Amino acid sequence: MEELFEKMAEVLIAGKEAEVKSLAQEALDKGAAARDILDKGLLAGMDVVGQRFKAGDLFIPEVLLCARCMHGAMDILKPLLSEADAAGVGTYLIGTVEGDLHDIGKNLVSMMLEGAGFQVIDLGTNITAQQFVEAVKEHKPDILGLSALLTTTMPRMEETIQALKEAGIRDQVKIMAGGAPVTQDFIEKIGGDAYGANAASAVDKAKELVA
Amino acid sequence: MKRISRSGIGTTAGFGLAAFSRDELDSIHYATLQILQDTGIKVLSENALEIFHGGGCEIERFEGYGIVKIPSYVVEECVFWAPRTIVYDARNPDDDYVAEPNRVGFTTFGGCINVIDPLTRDLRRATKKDCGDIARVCDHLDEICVAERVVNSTDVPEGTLSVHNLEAILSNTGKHIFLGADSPRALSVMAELAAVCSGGMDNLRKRPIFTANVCPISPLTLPTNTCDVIIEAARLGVGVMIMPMSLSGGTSSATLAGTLVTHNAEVLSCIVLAQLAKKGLPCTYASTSTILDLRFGTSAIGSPEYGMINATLAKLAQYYRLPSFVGGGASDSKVPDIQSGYEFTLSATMSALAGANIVFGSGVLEQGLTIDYAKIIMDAEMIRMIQIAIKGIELTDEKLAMDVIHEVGPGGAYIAHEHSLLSMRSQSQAKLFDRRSRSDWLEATEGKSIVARAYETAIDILENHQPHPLPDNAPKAMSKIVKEFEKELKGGL
Repeated sequence: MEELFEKMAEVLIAGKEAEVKSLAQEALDKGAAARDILDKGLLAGMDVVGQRFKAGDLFIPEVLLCARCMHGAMDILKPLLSEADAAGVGTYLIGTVEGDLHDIGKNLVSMMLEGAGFQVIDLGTNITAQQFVEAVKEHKPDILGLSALLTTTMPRMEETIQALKEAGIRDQVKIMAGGAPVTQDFIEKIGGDAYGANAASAVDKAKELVA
Repeated sequence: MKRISRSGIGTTAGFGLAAFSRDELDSIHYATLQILQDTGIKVLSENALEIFHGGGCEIERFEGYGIVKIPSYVVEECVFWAPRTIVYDARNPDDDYVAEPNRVGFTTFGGCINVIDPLTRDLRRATKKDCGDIARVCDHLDEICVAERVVNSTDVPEGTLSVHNLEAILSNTGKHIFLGADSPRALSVMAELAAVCSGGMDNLRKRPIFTANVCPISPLTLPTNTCDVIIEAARLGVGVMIMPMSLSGGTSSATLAGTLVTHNAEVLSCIVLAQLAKKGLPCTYASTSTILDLRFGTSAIGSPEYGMINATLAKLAQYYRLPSFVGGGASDSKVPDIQSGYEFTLSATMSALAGANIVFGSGVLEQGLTIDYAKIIMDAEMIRMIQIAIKGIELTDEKLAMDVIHEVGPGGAYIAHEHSLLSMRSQSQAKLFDRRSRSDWLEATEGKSIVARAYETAIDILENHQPHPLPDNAPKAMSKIVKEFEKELKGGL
């Protein structure tokens, strides 16, 4: 079985979706637990993908292709996973704050998080503090990610955290923020939990937060 | 010896860049028309949707936005209505900049949020004081043809940023100013500020001393503020500079050709809106498009692709007979080092050779986030070199100097000849760059690096340069207008 997992990771890294799926099915047929296939095959492969991306060997579209492979296989595994396991590493709610329509950074982070095994709920752009509060109540995510590109919309991040406090749910969720003008100092100042300097580091920080 | 007149021979003037044939430019144009007509543009402003509809465009409405499909005849007609050549009027008339085809000027990057402090050399958030200080340095530099809002005044109340920016810049430079507006209302307040410095609103209409920058969001989206600022600019008679930043592989196709098409569609859709709002409104074709580095997820403005995209877009602007304002000279380096110098030179030279009216990008580091004083000064030196280079080599009788060559003869010396005396001042001159012998260099600079000397130059300019004076009452009047606007916004919140 270990060999099969290794092979699965290998074809996942190579971005071959059909092969990843058929290997996942084969493992199931041979009696492997869905959770093991996810952890030892798919996520093990995505870990290597993440390392290679960080080293500059893989391009973002390649990482996204690998993530797509993982999701293809997840379609097969999901019905067999417990609800907690199906949620993967954790649930991540993400959106660009009010007044900001820029979303390339946020989209990138979303896709990379999905690749790392997070269940991502993407609210889109121009999301008000109140909309974030409602969404946190509804989806109960492990982490909330706030994105901004404009310096003028950065204050919306602080307001969102404030609104969560007022709603009494600030402590139920970890908060991350990112975007070109955002800094570690800023996150600390507004009372967030972690800063993602780029998509790869956002994924690392998110993993640390749910570990 | 007599050399009498020559009949016509084929000549070229200056060095240029052969990017795209007429047929190839046509292909980009037709592809753009197809995108505008069939794919459409996402427009978020209700006012703009009305104007597009009134101008003959087809509107499909969705929640919170409309998709505007622009027939090709509307695009072509509107592009034709935009003024062919523009003079960017300046508060100091000596600095009026004439953007005729292939006149190449330079300015800095714009909209940065960080600055490297020239005294402490620490990286910090830019303030209103920086916004004014950098404008003063740019006012001093002859190599800078128009003033950009180089950094944003990040220390002022929300919604008033562009108004504070303009107050700071007007107070520190007499050159024409390019800057964005927070809102249509902010733009009208900015016009009041400019009017105070130009002897009233009527004079400002005759000689608009600033241009409103507007940015579509790629791909193919015009946000509410972009549209409403264009409409307000039309009302005020202030020209617009339309600058998309498509990121090839992220917000536009990963192939550069496709990026040119969507970029072009974004600019032309804004020109259509501007011309439908006011026929003849000055529109500047602009770009800071580049690649999204697909290894790091960063907008790589120091890449060769930045030069390639912006140089070809300058060609495209010429194809439409519009003035152009394109990127060239930007850098991704974090410090004013050799990387920033190499990156400056490659893309700035390409855009200059392409004949862009304004090549912007000097002074910037870190994907456009950070401005550095030393970099502005060093880049100005390189701008002078580029401007010499693009002039090319003239082949007139006088320049061929046949008589002089005969006269000096084999083994002779040119240095004492009168012809050298007449021509010497047209040579490129290094001030900050060093061409001396090693010992002379050591004596003159004590071995100090060019970066250190550039900071010293910047500080000297900051301490000593006096910008073109404002009218006596202007500082007080501007300050009053700004304060009232702050109050107005506070009341509105």
